[in-house]
Amino acid sequence: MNCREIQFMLDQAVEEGTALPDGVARHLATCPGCAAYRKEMARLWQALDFIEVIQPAQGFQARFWRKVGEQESRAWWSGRWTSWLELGRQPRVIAGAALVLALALGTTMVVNQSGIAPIEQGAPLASLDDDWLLESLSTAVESNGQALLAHYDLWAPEGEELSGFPTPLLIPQSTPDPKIPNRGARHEKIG
Amino acid sequence: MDGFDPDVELMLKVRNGDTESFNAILNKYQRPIFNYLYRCLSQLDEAEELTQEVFLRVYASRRRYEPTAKLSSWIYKIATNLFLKELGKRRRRPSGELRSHSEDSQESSAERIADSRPTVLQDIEETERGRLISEAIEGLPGNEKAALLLRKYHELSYKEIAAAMGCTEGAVKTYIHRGKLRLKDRLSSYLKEGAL
Repeated sequence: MNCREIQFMLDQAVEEGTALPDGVARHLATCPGCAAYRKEMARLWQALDFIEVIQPAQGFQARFWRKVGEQESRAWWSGRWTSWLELGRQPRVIAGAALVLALALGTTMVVNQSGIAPIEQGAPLASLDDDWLLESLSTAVESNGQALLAHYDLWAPEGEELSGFPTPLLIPQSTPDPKIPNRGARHEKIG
Repeated sequence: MDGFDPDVELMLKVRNGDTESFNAILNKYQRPIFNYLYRCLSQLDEAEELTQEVFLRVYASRRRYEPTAKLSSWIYKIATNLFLKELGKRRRRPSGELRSHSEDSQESSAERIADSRPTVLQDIEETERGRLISEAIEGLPGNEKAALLLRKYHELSYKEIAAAMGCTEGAVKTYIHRGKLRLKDRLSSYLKEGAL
């Protein structure tokens, strides 16, 4: 063994403070260079003890658990999105969603076409006194006041004063007329 | 795995949802890992951040944990990987940034030690010795530093260091040997004068 190999082997013995193998001990007895190396390394290894030991800043664990909470929250939301995306890829789900959409559209169209009877263009406002029409209007108002407003504006004769009309109609039940429930509400402004 | 490792038992409890056991692991390892990373990086805030990251990774892997090795080896492995990764990032940073971190002291620690020798050596204290040694260690290449630190301050065996660093035992011995030779060169004057 040459000096380099000996010195390499000396490391472990110095670190662990164990006895030297016979071959190494014999070499050291005859090689001042390796003997000096051993002493220097032993001193160096000992000197390395003089190093400061520091503590993590206070609240290390609290910060750790807070980060865990943040990570798990992110992972949860990420998981939700992934599961929704996965769900959205299944043909049955796509077909079901399409069916629901088609039904919703169909229902809307039917309601729009038959829910309120169209009024003839240019008919006088007085013709709206028809009980059946008012009842229909009131029912529709309850469900969608804005739609009714658009509908009524469309069919009202030109020049007819409609300001203030929609507001009371939007809440007809608030001022019921005991005799003609829906008619009384039509021109009274509430609030 | 050789012998019984009480940490493994703790980690198995963590795997089953016992967070209190993870606090016990934190109590035991937060300081050594923080010191290890601080000595590696020489930056307190970065060391703390990486220490947090080490334990976050351990905790995140709890459900997949299998007791195939000592828990400490696994934790040091994560820490070493993060340190070497961080070292790689530092190398890629612009040189201006690098100088504000360890590189500055890496290059000049030996010179600074030598320059201040006549005055410092007369009245050297323990903290000063610690600083000198820290600066000398800071200047070591990443692998040598990691191996030497794990061996000296964390008392890991060559085998455990090899597992932590993902290399052979022979490579670990070489890293440590080279690291010691560098330290000996940098601190030789103090060693000869008995200042350390």
